Amino acid sequence: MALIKLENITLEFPVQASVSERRRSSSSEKPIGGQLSAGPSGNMVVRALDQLSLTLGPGDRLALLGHNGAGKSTLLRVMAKLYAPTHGRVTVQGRVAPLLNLSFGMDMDSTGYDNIFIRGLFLGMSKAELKKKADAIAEFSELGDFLDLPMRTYSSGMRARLAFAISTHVETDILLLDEVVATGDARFFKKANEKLESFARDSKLLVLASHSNKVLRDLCNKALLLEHGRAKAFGPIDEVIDTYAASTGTDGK
Amino acid sequence: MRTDGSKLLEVLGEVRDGWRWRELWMTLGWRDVRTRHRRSNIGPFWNTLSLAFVATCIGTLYGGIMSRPAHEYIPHLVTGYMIWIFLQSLVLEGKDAFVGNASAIREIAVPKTVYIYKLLWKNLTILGFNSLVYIGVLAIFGLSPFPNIFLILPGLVIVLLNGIWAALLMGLINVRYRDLGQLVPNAMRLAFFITPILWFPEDATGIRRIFVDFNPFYYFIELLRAPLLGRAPSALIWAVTLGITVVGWSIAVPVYAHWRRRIAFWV
Repeated sequence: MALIKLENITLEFPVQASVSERRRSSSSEKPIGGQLSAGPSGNMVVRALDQLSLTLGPGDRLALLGHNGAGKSTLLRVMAKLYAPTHGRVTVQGRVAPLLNLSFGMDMDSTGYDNIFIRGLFLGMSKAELKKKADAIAEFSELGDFLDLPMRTYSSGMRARLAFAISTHVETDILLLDEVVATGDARFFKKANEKLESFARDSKLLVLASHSNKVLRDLCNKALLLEHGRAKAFGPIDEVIDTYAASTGTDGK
Repeated sequence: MRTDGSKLLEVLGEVRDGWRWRELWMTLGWRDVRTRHRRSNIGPFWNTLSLAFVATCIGTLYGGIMSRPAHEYIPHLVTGYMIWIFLQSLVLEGKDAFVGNASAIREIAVPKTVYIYKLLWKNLTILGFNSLVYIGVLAIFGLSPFPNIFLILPGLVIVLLNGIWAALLMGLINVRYRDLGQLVPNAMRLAFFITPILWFPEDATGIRRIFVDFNPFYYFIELLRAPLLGRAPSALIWAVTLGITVVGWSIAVPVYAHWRRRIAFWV
């Protein structure tokens, strides 16, 4: 069973940098990004997530919204158990397949077919399982004979297709996506959409960060709006998109 | 720095969990061996060939300078040098165990020991290619390493156990303080010359004995070299290498337990 439970989590990055004298921002304007403060040893500390609580269950498809540096990717990495929060508790039940960075686990000099195996093994599949699924993955990616060519000959959209195909064919309960579906063309987007819908019907859990309201509306049923690492709004997708649109002064379409 | 028991157990859990991912690290390790010689015709056999060149040239030159007969010097050189390449790679690649896999560490949560087992596997494979030269040397000089050759197995286990803690510790420190990455290769270059590989340990006399007696690499080289040459390593060799193993693990585990959650932020 898929479950993600975040209890009051705060995540702070220590960054080795000193405060520059170059420019002092006036107190009225708040920059994008997380909250900056000086740490105990003079380092800068970026508070990327601030006292965030959230519970997601089977069938939930969550959209993450927010300005650049609001903490969307960081939150995905916390859910993927890559970052341990500074305070608070994270409970994740079920197998997680993250798709955060398209070039990951991909060797540019190996063929697309070889890369199915490398990335698949990283996602916890066995070679025997991958042999069985390789055809389905190849077919879904629609790359055809390109799978026998080295990855460096691929366009970014083609890489996205392959990475997406692998991650969605893995036996998994939770899928974490960071702004990747958007790289594909319209045809692939439709296909990815169907795949993700069937994914949600199987009571699995999906979290997707994107700046495209259309993508989010099509794929998600809930949304979380982040602002400087804090949860600004959480609820049904349309309401949250409207709130976000109102705060940025755009129409949210 | 305080580390409680549950954190130590988590580290040992990670060491164990890494084993379950062997299909992954065996695949990655073998790919690393192949990619080093990509698009060459004989591929990983370049390792073998390069060791054969060293054995022929250095063997005849230095054997003559030190006036040792070839049947004594060349087996000593080939075994010592082949083991040195292995140990040196464990150290040099161990310090990069996490830095070198930064993109994977930021992307997917597999036990971090996977990256360590990968480098151990890769270098064991290269050792395998290099041992073809060793077999050739045995044939040429008509040497038989039996029955003591079988002591190589416990010896390898000890070396690999040390490879794990060294990579955990150095890999972690190098993530935060990259100067270690610059320091270690310099130290290793020096270590090659002050360790009895090109020369015989018994030739060092007087004050020079410190380069043998207080040199940890000497003990690890001898641990593997003696069985390869058909001798049993002395009790002192076993004791020192086992001692280093215990001390190393008991330093590396608490340090790693305390800082390991930070690795993803620092790489």
